Amino acid sequence: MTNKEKYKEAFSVLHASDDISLEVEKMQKNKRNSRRKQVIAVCACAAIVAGSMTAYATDLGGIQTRIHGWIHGELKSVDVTEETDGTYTFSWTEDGTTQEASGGGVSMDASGEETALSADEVFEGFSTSVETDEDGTIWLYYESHKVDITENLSGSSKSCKLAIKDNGTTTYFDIKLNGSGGYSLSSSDSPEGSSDAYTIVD
Amino acid sequence: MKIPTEVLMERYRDNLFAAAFHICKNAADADDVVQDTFLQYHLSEKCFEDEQHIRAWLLRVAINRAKDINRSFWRRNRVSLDEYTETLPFKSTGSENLFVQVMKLPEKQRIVIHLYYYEDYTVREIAEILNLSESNVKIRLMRGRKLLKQALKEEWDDDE
Repeated sequence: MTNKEKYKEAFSVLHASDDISLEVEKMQKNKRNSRRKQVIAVCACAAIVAGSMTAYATDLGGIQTRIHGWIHGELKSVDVTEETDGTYTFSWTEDGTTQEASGGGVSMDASGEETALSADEVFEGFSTSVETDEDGTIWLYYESHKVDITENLSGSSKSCKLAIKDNGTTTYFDIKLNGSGGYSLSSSDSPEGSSDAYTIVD
Repeated sequence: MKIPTEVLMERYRDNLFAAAFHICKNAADADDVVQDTFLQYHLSEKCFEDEQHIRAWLLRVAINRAKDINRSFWRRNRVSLDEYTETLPFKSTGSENLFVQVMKLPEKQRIVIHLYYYEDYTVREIAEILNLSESNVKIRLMRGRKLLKQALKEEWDDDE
């Protein structure tokens, strides 16, 4: 075999996920989910964070601001520092220690132009997450909600459709564990298909 | 000319995934790159000369997108390359060794090696896709080959 043949054989095992939609409409929806995933932080420490929604921001002088948002189901005060490379560093106190995470992102408009996300938008990226504890419990974090979804994902499809009702509104989640140990997650204020397919969780 | 996005996705999704994986070394990131790239194509009003022009454009966008992700973000639930490699159905240990050694190359050499050996691009075409000089591409190609030869020995032939 030539080097090229060897190379092609070795890398022929790489395939894009089946989750990538071939339908443009769904692709654009996935793009929104993708953007959320892309704003997930560069973690300087071991903490994995989940939070959401800027309630308000306080100018602390210079380029540092303070926002309030949900992290691991608890409302936290988070200091935000804008870095010179356009990313943001978020720091807060959890379990008596200071935790830190940073990240940035871009959004794409209809013409394909990319725009850097604001600190609020980046922090929104933390709003929903699925995380697995050391004991194997799988948690869905969404704003103030912390939901054990281990059983929901225990079927052969390793996927589930969940709905969370909060303040008169319902948010619909499609969650799927992938083979490499990660997950794909999308959320919407309307169900995809029938709402009967969604399990309501608290 | 413009080919429907769905048609291109069927033809090139794995090519873009492989190129992105060479930069990101992470399947989830590479999937995002594939999705982003096709969305950018779909939204673009750019006029292309032919399918090869589109293919090169898609690869260029995917590579740049992967570099952006690599530079700027860290994913939660990131799966290690070793763990991911264990899930891949290699046809032989030689293939697995080659995969592992390529992934150990510096990124700059890795993507040049990939475009040459997997996508069959010439040095000139690689230079255009990566916006590099031809001499720069040759140097990266040479250094990548040298490292592969050192690591793989008789499993990798001397070639030009």
